[in-house]
Amino acid sequence: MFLFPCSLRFFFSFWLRQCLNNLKVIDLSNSRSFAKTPNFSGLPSLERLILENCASLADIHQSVGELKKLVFLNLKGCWRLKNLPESISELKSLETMNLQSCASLEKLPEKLGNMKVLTDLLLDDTGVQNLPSSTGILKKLKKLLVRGRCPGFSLNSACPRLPSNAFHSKELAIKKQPFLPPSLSGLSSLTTLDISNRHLSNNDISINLGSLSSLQDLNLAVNDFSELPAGIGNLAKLEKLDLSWCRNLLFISEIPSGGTLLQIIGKGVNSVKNSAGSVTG
Amino acid sequence: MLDAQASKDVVPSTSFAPMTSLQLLKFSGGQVRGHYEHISKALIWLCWHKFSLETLPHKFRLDSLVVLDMQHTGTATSENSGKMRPRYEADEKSFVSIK
Repeated sequence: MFLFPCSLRFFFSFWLRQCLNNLKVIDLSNSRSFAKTPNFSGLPSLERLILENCASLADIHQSVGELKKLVFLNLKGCWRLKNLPESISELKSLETMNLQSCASLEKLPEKLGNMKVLTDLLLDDTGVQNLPSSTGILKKLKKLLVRGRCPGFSLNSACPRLPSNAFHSKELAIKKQPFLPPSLSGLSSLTTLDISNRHLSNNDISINLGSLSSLQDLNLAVNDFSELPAGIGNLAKLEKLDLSWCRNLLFISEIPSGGTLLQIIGKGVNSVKNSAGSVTG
Repeated sequence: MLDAQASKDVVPSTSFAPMTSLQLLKFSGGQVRGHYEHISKALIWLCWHKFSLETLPHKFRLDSLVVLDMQHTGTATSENSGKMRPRYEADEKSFVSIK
């Protein structure tokens, strides 16, 4: 038996020195002792990489981009992770990327749009301040969840409360880039969009959402804008629109005309009016 | 298949020698003492939760491995000292098709 000091570098070395051509799944969730992942080069068949709640993980090796068959990546609750390598956008088979509760993560790779088959991009409860402009070309994307972080609440109880981006957004209101990219016109498969609890201003959402032709569920709750994004009237498949606690919202200029809209949630909104009459929560 | 889920013991690696066709090995905690080369080279699924940090799988041949499930690696020590376990949510992580 070999004894080594407490470092998972040694643990990982077993996969680096042998042929693991058949390996499809790695699940090291809740392993708290490693700060870096090893080189992923020798894992040509890997489809699922699950590193959920790895509380020490701060660095993903850039070779992650070589995992050409990776379909599912779960880094949920890796709250020390500040950056993702740019090479992650080379994951051409990736369908699900879960970064929920990566509380220190503030920036996404600029070339995110290269992940052509991405269907689920889960970014709730992260420190992400804006979406890269290439997000708008993810044609297969169905679910885009970017709910902001609530003080005192976390999806992951193991994660300490870092300062909420709600405070940042007020301090940096003048300098910061708008939250939404200039266009989301390529997201023709998107069914669910959640950008709630972000205290977004009119400037953050000043784009036209009318091209999101598959959108069913739009959550805009707990934001600071006084006008809705343009184009909501064109969302023929919209079933649910959540405007709860959008306290500055006084007027809805357009509502979808398709007839599928089942529910407008408006808790905490003061007598919102629209062109057809009043909407209550 | 060998399921030693409740094992807290140290298992001598030689006890694996007769199991030449072992494909699925499931441990929770525990240790294997000796050379890992005695463990079947046909292993497809290794599920070994709470694997202790100090024990490196020496000569552990995993050429056939398809699934490596080693959750809670290196956390066994802190659990023993009475610290709170991190919350674990079982979601869609546990399925895969082996072709």
